[in-house]
Amino acid sequence: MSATAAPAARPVSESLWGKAWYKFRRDRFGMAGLAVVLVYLVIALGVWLGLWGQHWSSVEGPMWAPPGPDYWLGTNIIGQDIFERAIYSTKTAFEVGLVVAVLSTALGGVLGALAGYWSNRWPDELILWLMGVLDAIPFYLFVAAIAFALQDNPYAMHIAMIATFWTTTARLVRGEVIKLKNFEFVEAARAIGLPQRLIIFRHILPNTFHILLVQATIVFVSAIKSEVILSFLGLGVKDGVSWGVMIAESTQEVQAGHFSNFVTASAFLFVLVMAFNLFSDALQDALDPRKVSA
Amino acid sequence: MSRPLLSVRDLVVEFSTERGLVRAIDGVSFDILPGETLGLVGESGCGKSVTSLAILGLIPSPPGRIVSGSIRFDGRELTGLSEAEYRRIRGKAISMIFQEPMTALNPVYSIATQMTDVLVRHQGMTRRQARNRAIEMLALVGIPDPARRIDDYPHQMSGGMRQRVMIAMALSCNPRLLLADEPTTALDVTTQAQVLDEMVRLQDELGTSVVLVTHDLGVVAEACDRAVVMYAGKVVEEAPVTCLFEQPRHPYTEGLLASIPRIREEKLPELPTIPGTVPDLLQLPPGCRFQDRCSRADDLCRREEPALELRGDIAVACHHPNRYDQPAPCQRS
Amino acid sequence: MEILQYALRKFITGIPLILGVTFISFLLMVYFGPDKTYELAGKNATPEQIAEIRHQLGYDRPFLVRYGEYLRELVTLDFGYSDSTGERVSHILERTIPISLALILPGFVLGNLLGIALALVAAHHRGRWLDKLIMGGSVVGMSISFLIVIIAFQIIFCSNYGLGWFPVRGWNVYDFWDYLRYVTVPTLATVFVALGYNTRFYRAVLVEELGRDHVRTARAFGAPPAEVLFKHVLKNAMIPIITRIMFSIPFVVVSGALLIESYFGIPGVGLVTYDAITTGDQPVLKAVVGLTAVLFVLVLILNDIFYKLVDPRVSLQ
Repeated sequence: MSATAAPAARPVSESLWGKAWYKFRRDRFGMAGLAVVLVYLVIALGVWLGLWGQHWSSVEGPMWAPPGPDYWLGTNIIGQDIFERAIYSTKTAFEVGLVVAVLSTALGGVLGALAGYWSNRWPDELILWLMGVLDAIPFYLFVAAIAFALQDNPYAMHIAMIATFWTTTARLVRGEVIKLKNFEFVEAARAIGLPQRLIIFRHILPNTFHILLVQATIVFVSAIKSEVILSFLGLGVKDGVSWGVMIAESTQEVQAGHFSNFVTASAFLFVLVMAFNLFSDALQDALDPRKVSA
Repeated sequence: MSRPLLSVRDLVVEFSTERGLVRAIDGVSFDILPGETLGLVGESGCGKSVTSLAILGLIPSPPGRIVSGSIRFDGRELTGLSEAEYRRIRGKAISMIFQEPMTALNPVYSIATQMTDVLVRHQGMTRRQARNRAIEMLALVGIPDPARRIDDYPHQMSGGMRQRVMIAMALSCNPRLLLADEPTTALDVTTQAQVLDEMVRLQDELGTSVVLVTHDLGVVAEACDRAVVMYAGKVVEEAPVTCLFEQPRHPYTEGLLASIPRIREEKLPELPTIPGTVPDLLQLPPGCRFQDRCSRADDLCRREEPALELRGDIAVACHHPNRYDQPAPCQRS
Repeated sequence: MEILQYALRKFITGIPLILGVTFISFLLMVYFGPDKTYELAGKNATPEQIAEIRHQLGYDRPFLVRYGEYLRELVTLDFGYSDSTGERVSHILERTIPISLALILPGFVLGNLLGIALALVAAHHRGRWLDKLIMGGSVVGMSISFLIVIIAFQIIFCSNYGLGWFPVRGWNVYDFWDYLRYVTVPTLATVFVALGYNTRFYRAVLVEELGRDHVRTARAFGAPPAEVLFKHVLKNAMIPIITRIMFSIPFVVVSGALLIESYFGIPGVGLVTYDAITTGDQPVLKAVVGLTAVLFVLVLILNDIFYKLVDPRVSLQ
């Protein structure tokens, strides 16, 4: 008699997404990561809706107050409430992260699909050349260059990030499209006379969505991490506050032994990034076609 | 009856998968005599490859393991051997070759390196001695100009030649037993025939026993003395090859034989196939595993799993095996 | 000889890349960039004076001519003089590049060696607790920003609020012991940050190699685990590993150095670049960007040659 453990309620869905969701649900770290990310999202939405974090710029507090009932995490060198600033920065982080992730992934998806579809012909060569050029320019210099060119437009950072982060996505999508191109369903689509535009966008590209989703999460993390360094270099967030700005400010303060600003911003950032990384990993495992088995 | 070289009894191998524990083989038993070629036949997933991997202790250990049963080689129990002890056997007393000659050899080392490694390790030879022996073996398997080709890299050889190199490597330490896991499946038909011929010839010359795992009955007919038919992790029939082909007893064997495309007097409206598909090993019905595809299945079959019954040289696991009036070809004196 | 010809051919195909990088950078930084005229002119300058300055700065010449000059500078390695310090740019580079290399190299090498070592351990024990521990540590390492690590390490190791064992800033290196004192904390920071990413990537490569058929063959012929790992897996895995190491060189050297040097006040290329960014010092920026592009193409070529040498399947055609 073969003995098997009574299996948990199994997924009925056989689609990639159905199975992936089932797999993802069972990954405890991934679910925990997602939960934390959602908490942060709620905080960010609350700021955006005006529910909290609104006093991030008021300088009414005493300089360098220690954490206490008035100022939960203390104040910084010019008397601003660190806690309020950290909360407000959540909104900044999501703004930067979401805008860059969505736009760069979309750009990368489209260009990668075009390059893959016309692989080895001039559109592909052109896009590959462009990717090579963008990869060769040191990232911080590129942001600086864009900042110069746009005369310190507050969105210079976002634009620079989108312009550099799309390349990885595009390479992955291009590779996948090249594989997909040779599948029979594409031949079939051509045989019934579908125009190329439709073949690319309606048939091939949807089969790359799992790549796009994973890449979007990776880019989100890269974006908020890069923002920290860019703000330190003076190239980041201009109006408003972000964890990067807080850390940049804190470099003076830690020389004098006041660590609250630094530790707060670092901790907020670390927890979000770590949670997102766990979520992204679990997502990747769940969507990996090699591992999603019957 | 000489003493069997290899004796497998009630072998059970389990794999832990996402959906639970699966028994890839569930109570497999058979013997191999010295100098004979045994075919392990069945479709994909029936457990034949797992059986051959189990003999050499090569079941990947998470997620698989040998749960119970015995594998006796030359009187010595193999299950329960330590890795170190197994390593002394692998490539020396028992050798194995695999299905994909294109990827089975390491692409960044020459044939010479890969073959001499084995000889140095198991026979204690020097590199020079090992190289000479390797060249001998390459000549034996029919590789032209072996002294020069031994320094080639795998990608410089065709699939058929690579498989011959594998055979040469496997036989270089004079093993008593060779496990061949679908050695010709990935080759084209002409090459397949050549490699099989080579294997049969070598086996005659060197007296090695061979376990030939395959799904192709043609290969069995050509190269094997006896055959063990497996289905869904169990042995369903075992017989000398002449008997198996002329008087199949188990309905599955019968179905397999009937589905071999061949030239007939009249054209059939459809190619005969066995209806249905292999059962999901996680959701096995009680009773005989073949019941859903068998035209003779009745209540007994659905209740009770048939045991493997031995009658002379022939064994069948079926409640309603074919019976023949004439004695079996292998039982005629 | 064949290799040189091959390298030359590859370099030629890399030229469009260099052109692309320099063109875009030039466009962004110089053409659209800050107009220095008014800085130099001061207040109440007459139109003639302004025109004169513009002429001196070369603003009145056509775009392509100016771009062509940039390319000439790149080829002759003569970028003129720094806007902020007046020093010859090539001298600046000569002075600062060795310092940056001395600073970054230990961390770079250690980060990769340790990464490979940890990845070997993790891959060998894959699925078991040691693997999970190493992978868990890697995710944590990947989640901490480099800047945060630099600041934190400086507090912990250098400042009076921490251990105070190492100097807080600067680079007064006159002998080997000085070197060790100044390079340790930056090296620790670099290794800490790189280790997470490296280990994860290398482990993935090793696990993939471990699953290959020829590894199964080696085991089936009795190869002991050490031999399997080092002879059969590592050599094959070296190709993607070394590729990644080579491609990370331009970025580690330029971007990594930038943060460390600016924070620790170490006078290397990174600090010079950082100053150039904040002051808008165009000659320096042009030089750094141009040279980085060339370095990138060189790395591409070297990587290709490396492939040919290591993988017998690939030919030099």
